[in-house]
Amino acid sequence: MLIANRGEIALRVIRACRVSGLATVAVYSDADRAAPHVPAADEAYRLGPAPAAESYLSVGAIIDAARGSGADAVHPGYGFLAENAALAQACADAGLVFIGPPAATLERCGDKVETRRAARAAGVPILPGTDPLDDAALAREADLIGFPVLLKAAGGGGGKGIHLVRAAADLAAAVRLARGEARGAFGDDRVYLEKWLDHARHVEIQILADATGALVHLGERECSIQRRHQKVIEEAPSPALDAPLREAMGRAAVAAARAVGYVNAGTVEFVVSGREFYFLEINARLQVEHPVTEWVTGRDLARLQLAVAGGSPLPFAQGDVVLRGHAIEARISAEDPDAGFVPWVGRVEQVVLPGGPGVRVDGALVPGMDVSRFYDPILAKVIAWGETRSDAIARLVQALRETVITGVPTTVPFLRWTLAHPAFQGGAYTTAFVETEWERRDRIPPNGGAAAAAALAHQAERRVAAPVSRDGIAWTQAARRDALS
Amino acid sequence: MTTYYVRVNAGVAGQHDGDVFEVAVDETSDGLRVTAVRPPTAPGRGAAQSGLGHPAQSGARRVDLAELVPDCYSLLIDGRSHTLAIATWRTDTSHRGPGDAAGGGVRRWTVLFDGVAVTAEVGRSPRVRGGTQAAAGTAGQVRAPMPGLVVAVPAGPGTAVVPGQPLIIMEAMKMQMEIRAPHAGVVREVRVVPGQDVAGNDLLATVE
Repeated sequence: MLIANRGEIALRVIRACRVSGLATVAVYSDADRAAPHVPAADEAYRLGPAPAAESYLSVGAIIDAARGSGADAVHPGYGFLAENAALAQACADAGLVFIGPPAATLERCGDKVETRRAARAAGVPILPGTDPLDDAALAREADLIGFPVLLKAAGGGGGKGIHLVRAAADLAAAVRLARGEARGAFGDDRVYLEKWLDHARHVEIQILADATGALVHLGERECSIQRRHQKVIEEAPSPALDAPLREAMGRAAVAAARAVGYVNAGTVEFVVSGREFYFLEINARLQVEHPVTEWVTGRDLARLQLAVAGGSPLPFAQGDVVLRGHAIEARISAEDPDAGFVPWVGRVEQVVLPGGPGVRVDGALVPGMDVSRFYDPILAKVIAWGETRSDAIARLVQALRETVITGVPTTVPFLRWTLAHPAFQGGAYTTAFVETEWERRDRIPPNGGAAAAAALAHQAERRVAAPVSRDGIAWTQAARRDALS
Repeated sequence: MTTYYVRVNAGVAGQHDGDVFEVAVDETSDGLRVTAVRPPTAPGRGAAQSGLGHPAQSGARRVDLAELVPDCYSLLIDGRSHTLAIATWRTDTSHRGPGDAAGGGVRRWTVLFDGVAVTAEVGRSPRVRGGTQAAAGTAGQVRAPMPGLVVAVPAGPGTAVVPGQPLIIMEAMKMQMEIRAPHAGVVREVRVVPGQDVAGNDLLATVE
């Protein structure tokens, strides 16, 4: 199996392959020779220079690496070429098994507007929206739909090229940014509009289909805690769904997936407002947040992907899918949550990852690792499971208290704050959470901050007065020696 | 005994609006004894603002700092366990160099105190740098909010700009961000060109 990806998802797929008895092939760019996924695989081959367009996004380089290594199959992970029909087609042409839907399905799912049409035709509710349009038509249509509207990249995914526009005056600038991002990320600058619902939730349904037409859903994931329209915390089940709504959304997801001829693992995204739900899109890949579904269903989705792609029928039916307990995932990314979540690059210095019962860490994070500006800043995911939602929260809070990452800013402070917030603990949060709660939080210096600052300053003074080695806890030892002499 | 003047503010933005506290530090056999000798005079800005607890009630506090790994400390305050991590990406490490505070200068750290961002300024004289002085020299400076790539410079030197007008387009991790004019004026200087990599906090342009 060649894994056409990097970072934590490459390691996740390598794990699934190893336990399935498959040898693994990693690929890397010049920025990633020392990245964790390279030594983790049985073999590794260089793709090209650091920019993704010349390495992880190069279909030719990946096919060459697959041919050169003698791989039989290619797993695309998520992001990069995961939903790119050209890679799926090139694999088919080269006699390689592509771990995902066939090229024709990816083509349909990749065109967000086309998927919306197919879903509506299958009786699945959708939000008011447009086709991809030029700048002038976007302005006209936005007025008709009514602000706020969401600008989305037709060829997009992963939150890239998405901009929320609240007033007509802001539309032109947002279109400019969205087209630029979409061109850079997908080589396609078509954008379209969708109505934006405030105070709504983002809930998605995991689906799994085999080549014989069997198609099941594995319950939902609640993904409303987002920044930049990218998820940061996900949980299963959703506090917003009861059994009838879950059943209705599951049926709608299966209908939408059938309408595009879906095969393998995928996700049908919905926006939920009260008891109404609307189809958004199909993510034709394994999702970042798949572990929460794995934990509550007891199924290994990455291994199931391999089995289904190998031609095996689904080993279970819809009636066999039973949800047990509650799982929550927190994404740790190299971003500064105190400065608008700007992505940061630099060297990771120290890493302490959590453990204990009910805690899982999927990451690609080692001390001394460089976070480069070329790729997504995700470092690791911490997932906790509990019999109840409050047990899962308590375990995740504890896990994040144990987590130490120095050298680059991370989302950990935000994650800890959010998990302790009454709106999160009560389950009554929406996609506006970051904007309305985190960005407007009271900023009170913690009790003890000044004492800590004085101690830090005193330590610095001591170092100046009597330079000491950094071995052990040198300054306190030096201070104590002085006090005793 | 050593006396320090300490100001703490929540967050990384460096709002220099907190009170300055005079803090006495004594070395003892079980760490430091830290006492706020001059609590704030302004009513309503009490214990929480000082970050020391209420000195009248708590008196001196025992503080012990142990570096676990570089830039990450175990902090015991009266026996209570805290973590303190230096936000190296927001802290000018030259402030940790020799002679700084002793010469009347100010050391400035951004730290994560139990995971909460705090910016602290500490000096040996009561004149811990005020916000107005700091702001005066930097008002027209446009700095990189993140490390990344400059993709475009829509407003070159000499351009008259209105507040919020895009000056520079940056990209990091495939996300583009418009760096906008902080106020009306004329672009005096642009220090970057498209295609250039910049570090976080780098000076990009100046608007007069």
